[in-house]
Amino acid sequence: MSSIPPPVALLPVSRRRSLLRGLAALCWLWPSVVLACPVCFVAREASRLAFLWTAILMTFLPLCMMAGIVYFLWRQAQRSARENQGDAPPDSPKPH
Amino acid sequence: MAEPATAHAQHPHNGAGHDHAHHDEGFFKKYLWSTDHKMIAFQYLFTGMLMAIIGGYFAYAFRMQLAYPGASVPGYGTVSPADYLMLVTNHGTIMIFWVAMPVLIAAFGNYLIPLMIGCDDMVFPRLNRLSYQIFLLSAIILIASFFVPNGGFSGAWTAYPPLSSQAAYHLTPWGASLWVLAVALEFVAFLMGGINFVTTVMNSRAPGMTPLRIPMVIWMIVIASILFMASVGPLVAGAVLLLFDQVLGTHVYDPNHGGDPLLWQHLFWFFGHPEVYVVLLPAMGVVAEVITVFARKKLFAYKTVLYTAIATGIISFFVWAHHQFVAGIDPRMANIFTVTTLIISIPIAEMVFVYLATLIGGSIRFTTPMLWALGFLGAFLVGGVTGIFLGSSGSDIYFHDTYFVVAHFHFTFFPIAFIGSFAAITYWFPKMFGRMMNETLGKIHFWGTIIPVNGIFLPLFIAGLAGDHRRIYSYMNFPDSAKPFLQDLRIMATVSLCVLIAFQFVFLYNFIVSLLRGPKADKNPWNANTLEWTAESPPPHGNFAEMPSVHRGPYEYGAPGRDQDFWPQNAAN
Amino acid sequence: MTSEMTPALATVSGGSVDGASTSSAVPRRRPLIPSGVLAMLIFVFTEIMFFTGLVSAFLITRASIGPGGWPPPNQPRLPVAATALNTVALLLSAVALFVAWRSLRERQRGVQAGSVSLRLGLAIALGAAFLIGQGREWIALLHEGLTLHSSIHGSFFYIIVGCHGLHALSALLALGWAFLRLRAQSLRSDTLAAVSVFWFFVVGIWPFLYYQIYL
Repeated sequence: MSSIPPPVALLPVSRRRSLLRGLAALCWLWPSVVLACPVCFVAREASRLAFLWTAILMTFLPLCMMAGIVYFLWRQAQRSARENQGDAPPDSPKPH
Repeated sequence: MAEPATAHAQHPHNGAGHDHAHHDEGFFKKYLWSTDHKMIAFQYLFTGMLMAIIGGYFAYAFRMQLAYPGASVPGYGTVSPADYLMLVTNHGTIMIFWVAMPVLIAAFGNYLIPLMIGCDDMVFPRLNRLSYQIFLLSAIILIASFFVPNGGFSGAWTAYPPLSSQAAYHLTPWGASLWVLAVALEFVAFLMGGINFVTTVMNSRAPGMTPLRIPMVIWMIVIASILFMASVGPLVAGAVLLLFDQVLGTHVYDPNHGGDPLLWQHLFWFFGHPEVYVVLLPAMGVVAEVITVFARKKLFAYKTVLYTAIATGIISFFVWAHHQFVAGIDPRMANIFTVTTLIISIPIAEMVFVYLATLIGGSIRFTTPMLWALGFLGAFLVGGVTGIFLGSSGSDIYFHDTYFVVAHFHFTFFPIAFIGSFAAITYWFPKMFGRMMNETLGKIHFWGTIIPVNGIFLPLFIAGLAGDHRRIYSYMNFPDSAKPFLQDLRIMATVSLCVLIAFQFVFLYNFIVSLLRGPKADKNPWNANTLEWTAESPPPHGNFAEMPSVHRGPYEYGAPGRDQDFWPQNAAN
Repeated sequence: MTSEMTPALATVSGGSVDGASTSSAVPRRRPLIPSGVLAMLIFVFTEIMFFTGLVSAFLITRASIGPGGWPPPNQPRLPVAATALNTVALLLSAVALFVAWRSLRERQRGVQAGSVSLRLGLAIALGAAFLIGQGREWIALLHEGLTLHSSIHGSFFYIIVGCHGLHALSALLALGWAFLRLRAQSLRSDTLAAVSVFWFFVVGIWPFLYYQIYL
């Protein structure tokens, strides 16, 4: 199973080279190089990165907070289930 | 988990703000100052319906202007350019924030959550009452903004600065500030409602109502509430900054003084796109309830729908910048958001497939609610599929701000806000008011709505493809847009709208006459399983004569070896 | 929040069936989280997003201004050291509140615990000290010429810090209300926990605001 070669290696060398060329062309087309922003008030990289980072912050913060609350409730549920069985003191560490 | 519910049942007379068994209250106390979740739901429902009439009237006025530019509109008068912008702006605002949200989430959330999870009221009844009062205040402020000097706000419902932030552009300082204030207050109201919904479902479920036995519509409303509360903060922050710009003269959004107008879009759409799913999910939940009951079949994959809904909620935080592809955002960001936008269609499609799989092999009854539910699936599909073109940052450059966008989001929002609400109203009407609606009139209303909707928005797709810009007062001023072919499409859309509005009177007639003189409904007219159908129709204060306990999931239809094809959740065996 | 909770909740079924008459015999179970605390957590959750929105706006605006333009050269500097002192007072008040809540809980469980009202009073006093310190700072800055209109720096400073101050004020009022309830012997530890969650939010978000805006 582990001996399956990666797909690129299966190709003949000339094709591999053209594939790499194609990838390089795609990288060259990576849009920040051809950034054309006619309505950008500020075309500074710092400003664009600030938008990007605050977007990431605003997107992940609520998800992390929700995950935190769900994890807390899940632990509470486990603890109360154990208390109900009466076989473990409430503050003992979790079995798993 | 059942502690609050049983505690209320124990002390029916001293619960916080409860006035159970006091049926001789005055009109004011009973209808306007009630803490009963059902009465608050009715308040939301009727306010939402009233606002829908206003929003529909606005749509009628500006559509008439687009089809017959400059002509006097019967019932409105001549639409001036300023009027036109005001009408378009407030049509959008009203339909999204004062119709879709209050009817689907607030009204049905309030009505269904305690009844379906088996408790006697919300956890915080007085907070609930306050929530409606703030909502009503926001509606009054919005309506008042139409009558201030220079009229209501006219900077489009998305309120992009500098159009919205500087009086030099929007020309109506009072209208703009009242608009922002109304929207902010409305969010405060729904924040209170959402806190109530989540807390109630968390802590007041009937004994045995485990998470995987909760009816799908309740799950959807809870997920939607969480989505709303997680996404609304940045928008309120943006609105605060906008109010400061408008009223106190700061320059946060003013590029001439170091501000950045793109900032508003950043904050607005962070809320704006999850908002779509906030209203979509409850409608999806309603459809799940209606389809299972009238196909007499178990929901095809309960857990899949639930996990899909959660996944939708999570992914909906990753898609919002697709509204700004042409606004000048970083193209790297546009790339990411294109991919995520296309990804989010997967869970939604999955839900639709589950509903279709539920229908297969069912003994389908084409009642009015069922027709609405099926109509929802069909119409929403068109909206979803056309969204793919707008979600791709390349094609969006062409489609942006054309009528293609307008047709796309109306094909999503109309099914959500209206078809979904009609499904819910016709399905729960017997429970809400204790009387049956007229089926014949209901079907006439259905066909009289679903056909004109396509008549309105399908032509607009074509007009959008032809390049019609969406914010034009009169196309006659532009030779390329004034072609007879395009004008015919606009006239077709407007005529269809008039037909649509005419058929809504059938609904209003049916609603009012059934409310007053419809045949009495028994407890469970649809032979449904969920807990609300075990209460009286309409349920009294405190909902249940004896608090139910739950023994099985909500969709046990057609279980083998039973006399009846349904198996109520609270039946012991 | 879904299937994991099933075992805990499944034990409830078969419990209270006929609510009113026999519910005293039914084994009562505490909810996983008191309703008041959950509601306050959700509210705080929204509030954190609100401040995230404001700070995002601030960060983007700051990044859009070229090098050397921030903070604006002709504007007064913010008092970093004085505010650090305020921050310490605020953090200490959170500690005092936490201790107060714990001793209230202990006492309601019947365990001997120290004076709650002293600790709660200390928390309120430290919180008030923070607010007063901020107010004095504002007055000084206004005299030095940093106003809402003087620059976008001033606009953001007053809007963000003002929003935080308003939250601190309302949280202090809630703490004061809890204090009165405590004196009237009608304060439950769950209620104090709900109010505390809000105060912890006000305290917890301040170091981030301080770091972003002052430093």
